[in-house]
Amino acid sequence: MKRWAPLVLAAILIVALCVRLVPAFSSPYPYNVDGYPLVKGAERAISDGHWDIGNAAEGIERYNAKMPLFSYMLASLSVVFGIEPMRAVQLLTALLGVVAVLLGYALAKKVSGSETAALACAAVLALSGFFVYLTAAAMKEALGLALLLLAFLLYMGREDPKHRMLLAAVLLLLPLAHHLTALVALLFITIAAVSSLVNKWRGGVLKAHGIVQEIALGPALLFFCLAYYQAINMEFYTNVSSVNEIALFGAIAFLGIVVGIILSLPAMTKPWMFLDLKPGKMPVPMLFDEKTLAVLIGIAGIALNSRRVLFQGTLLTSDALLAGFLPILLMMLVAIVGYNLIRYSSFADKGAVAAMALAPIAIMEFSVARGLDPFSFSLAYRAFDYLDPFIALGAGVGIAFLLALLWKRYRDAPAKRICACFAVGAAFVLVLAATTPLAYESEQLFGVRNETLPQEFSAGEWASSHNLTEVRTNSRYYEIYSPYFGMSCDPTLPYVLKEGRNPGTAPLLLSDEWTADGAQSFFSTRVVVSQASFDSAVGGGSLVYCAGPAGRQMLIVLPG
Amino acid sequence: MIIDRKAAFIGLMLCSILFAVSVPLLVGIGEIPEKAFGQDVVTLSQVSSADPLKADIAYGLKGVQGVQAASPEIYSFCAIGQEPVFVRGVVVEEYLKIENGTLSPGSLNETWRFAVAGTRLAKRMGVGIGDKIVLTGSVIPKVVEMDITGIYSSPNGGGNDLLVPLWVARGLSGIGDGMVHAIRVHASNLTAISAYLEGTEESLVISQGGGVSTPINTNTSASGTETQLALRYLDSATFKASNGSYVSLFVQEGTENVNVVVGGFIALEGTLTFVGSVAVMSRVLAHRRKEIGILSAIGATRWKILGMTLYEALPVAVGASIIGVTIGGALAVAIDQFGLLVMFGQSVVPVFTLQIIIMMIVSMVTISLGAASASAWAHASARPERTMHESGEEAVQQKAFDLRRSLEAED
Repeated sequence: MKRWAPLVLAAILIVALCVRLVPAFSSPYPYNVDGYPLVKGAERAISDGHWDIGNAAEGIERYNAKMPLFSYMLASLSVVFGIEPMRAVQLLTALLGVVAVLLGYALAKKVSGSETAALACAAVLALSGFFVYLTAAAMKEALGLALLLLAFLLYMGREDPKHRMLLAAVLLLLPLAHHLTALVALLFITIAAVSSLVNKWRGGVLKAHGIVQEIALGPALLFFCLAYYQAINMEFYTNVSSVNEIALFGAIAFLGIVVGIILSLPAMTKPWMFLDLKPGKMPVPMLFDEKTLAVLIGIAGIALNSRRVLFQGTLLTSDALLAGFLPILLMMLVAIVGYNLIRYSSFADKGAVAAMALAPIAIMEFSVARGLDPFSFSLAYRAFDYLDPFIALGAGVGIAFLLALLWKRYRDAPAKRICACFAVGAAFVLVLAATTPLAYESEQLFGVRNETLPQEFSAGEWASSHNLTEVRTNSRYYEIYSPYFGMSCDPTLPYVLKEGRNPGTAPLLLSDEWTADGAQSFFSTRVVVSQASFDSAVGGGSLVYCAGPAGRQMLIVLPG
Repeated sequence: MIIDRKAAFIGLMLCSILFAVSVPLLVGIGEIPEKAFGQDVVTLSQVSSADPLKADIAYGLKGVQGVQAASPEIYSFCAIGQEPVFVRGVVVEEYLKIENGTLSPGSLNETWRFAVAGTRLAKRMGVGIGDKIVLTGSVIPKVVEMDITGIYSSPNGGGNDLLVPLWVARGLSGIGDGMVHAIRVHASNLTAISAYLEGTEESLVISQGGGVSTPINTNTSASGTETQLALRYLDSATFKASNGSYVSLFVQEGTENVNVVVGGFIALEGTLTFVGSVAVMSRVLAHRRKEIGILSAIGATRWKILGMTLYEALPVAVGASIIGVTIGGALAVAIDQFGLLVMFGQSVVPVFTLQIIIMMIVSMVTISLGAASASAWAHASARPERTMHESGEEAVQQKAFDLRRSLEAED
C-alpha cells in the first residue's frame, strides 16, 4: 500500500459517513418509512429478549420480523451504547454504508491489484447518489448490500478455506437480512461457480473435490434459503414459487450462466480482437463495445420519456432526474472501459466479475418476463440497486486506467502529467459529487418524501396515546403508523376524497399538504385532493388534533 | 476453404430463427389495440367516462340510412383462472355483423344468457360448448358463472374475446342499466348518422380511423368526474384534446404507446441479432486463422482473402437466412396457433408481409457478410509469420494483458 493511500481511504470513509448522516440533520426519525418496522422490531427484541416471529403484529411488522438481522443489529447497537433504536437507526445505516464502501475498496484491490482503482471504487460507492440513498435510508437492503459486497470479496479469495467458510456463513445469513439480496447473492455465486468450473475443465485442472466445494458451499446453500422462506411463509417468496414462475426463473438463470461462461472465455467473437496492433495499444472498440450502445439507448429512452410518455400510465421523467443522469452516463462510460479491461485481461475470475452484473440483470429480466404487475415493477427497480457494486468496480478500474495512461503519456513532462492526472481525478470526483444530491432529492425527483416531519410523527403518537386503533389516511402514513404504533390503517383516503365519496366512520388522519402537493401514495403519483373535498372531510367531523405549519399541517378528525 | 461452412450455417440459422420468430410477433403486438377497438368502423363513445352512452342509440341507428350494423358494446378486462380475458358485452348478432364473424356449428342461438368464446380464446383456454366458466368483475367485486354456449370465428384477426350479454357485462364493469361504453357502427353514410345523433340530443363523440373525432351535441369540455379506472391514466391534456372520446383515445394512445415499446424491442432484437451474427462469423473465421496466414504467406492480398471469404460466406448466409426465417416464421405461426403469447387478453397474431420477410433476409445476409469481411480483414492484416502459427484462441490469449500492469502508473 502506498503511503498516501490510507489517508485518502480514511478521507473517503469520513466523507461517506458524513453524506449518509445528512438526512439526520433534517429529521431524527428513520430516513425512509421502511425504517419504522425495523425500529419496532429492535424495540420488541430489546423488550422480549429473543426472536419470535409470532410476537410481531400481523402485516408489515411480521413481514420484517421474518428477516430480523437489521433489527437485531439495531437492538445490539442500542443496548451497547444506550441509544434508543429510533435515534440509533440513522447512525447504524450510515455505518453500514461506510462498511460497504470499505468492502468495495477491498474488492477492487483484490480484483485489480491497483490502489488507485480501489480508491476510485470506494469514492464511487461513497458519493454516488443512488448508492448513498440505499445506504443512508433505513432499509434491510442497506445491510444486504454490505453483506453482498462481503460475499463478492470472499468469493474472490475463496482459495483460502477461511474465506470459503466465511462466504458460506454470509450466504446462510443473507436470507435473514434481505430476501432479494439473498437471491442476488445466490445467483451471483451460481453463475460465478459454474463459469469457474468450466474454465478449470477447459484448462484440464478440474477435480472432483473442486466441484463439490464450489457447489456445496455455493449454490447448494440456496436450498437452506428456500427451506427457511417456505417454513415461515415468506410473502414475496410465495409470489414466485409456482411451477411456472420457477421454470421461468430457472430458464433465465440458465441463460445468465451461459452468458457468464461466455464472458469468462477468451473473446473470440469480436473481429477487432484479431487486429495486429503495436504492443500496449488497445483498439477503441475493445474499450467501448456494444455495451456502450445499451447504456446510450437506456439514457436516450429516459431523455425521451422526459418529453413524452413512452409507456402509458407512467410519469414523465423530471428535469431534475434527467439532469442527474448526465453524470451517471459519464460514470457508466468509464465503468464500461473498466469492465472491458477486466474482460480482456488475463484476470482469472472474469466470470465472477461478470456475475456481479448478471445476477441483478437476470432478476430484472425475470420480473419483466413474468408479467407487468406491481410486484414485477418493484422487483425490477429494486434489482437495479444491485448493479451499483459492479458499476463502482468498473468505474474504479476505468479511472485508474485513464490516470495510468496519462501518467505514462507525459512521462517526460512531470508538471504536465501531475496537472493532467489531477484534472481527471478532480473531474471524476466532481462527477460523483454531482450525483450525490440524488440521495436527498427524492421529493423533487420522484414525488416521494423520505424524511418524517416532527408533526407527522407526533400525530401518530397523539393518536396512539388516545387509543385510536383504526384510522383512514394515505399510504405514507399507513407505512409509519401501522407498524410503529400498531394502528389499523386504511390507506385509501386520498382517493376517497378525490372522488368526493363519503370517508366513512373511521377517524381521519390527513395533511393539508394533500390539497397543494398531493398525498403520497405508493405506486401511483401524488394524489391531489380538491380544497372543497378536504374542507368537507375536515368540517364533517370534529377536528381533534392539528399541528405543524400551514401547508405541512397534520390533522386528526373524528367522524360525526 | 476459409469458412467452416457447417458452423457458420448453424450459427447464422439460429440467429435468423430468433429474429424471424420475434419480429412478426412484435409487429403483431403493435396491431392489437386497433384490432380490439378500432378497425374499419365508426365508433360512438361518450364525452367523458362518467356519462355512458344509452344503448338505445344503437337500436335507433339501425334504421338510419347506410347503417349496416350497430353494435352496442361494454368492455371488461377479466381473468378466468390465471388467464387474462377480454370480455365484451354485446348483442351477438350485431357484433358478428361488424366483425364479419360466424358462429361455429353446434353453437346455441341464445340471446338472453350466453357466453360465446372466440376461436382463439377457446383454443387458449381449452374450453368448448357446454363448459362452465367463472368470470370475475374487472373494476367491481362480482362473480358470474356461465356456460359456454357458442364459439365464434372472425376473419379480422379477432376471436380473442368472450362475448356476453350486455346485462352480464354491466354487472362486471359496474355501469348503469341501459348504458354501454361505446357503439361500433358499420356505415356508408356518416352524414346521416351525424344528423340522426344530433336529433337525439345526446352528447357523444364519433371516432373514425386515423384518430378523427367529431363531437355531437357537446362543447367537448371534459367532465370533472372521470371515475373510470382507465381514465386515471388519461387525465391529461391529450384526453381533453381528443374531445373526451376514450375509445378513440385508447386506440390512438394504445397503438402509439405499444408501437413505441414494439419499436424498442425490434431495435433491441435487431441489435442482438447483429451481435450474435458478428460473433458467429468472427468465431468461425478465428478457427481458420492459420489457413488465412498460409494464404497471406503465399502471396494472397487482403483484398483477395476478403473476396474469397465473401464468395464462401454469401451462399452460407443466404441459405441460413432463408431457412432460418422459414423455421422462425413457422415457430411464430405455431406460437399463434397454440395461443402461447397473450397480451391485453388477446392472442398475438404474427404479421408476415413480403416487406418484413425480405427485410429480415436482407438484414441477416448484410450483417453476416459485414461481420465476415471485418473478421477476414483483421486476420489478413496480421503478419503471416504469426498467423500461420497461432490459432484464433491463442491469438486472443496472447493479447490478454496484465490488468495490474496496465493500471500501474510506473512504466
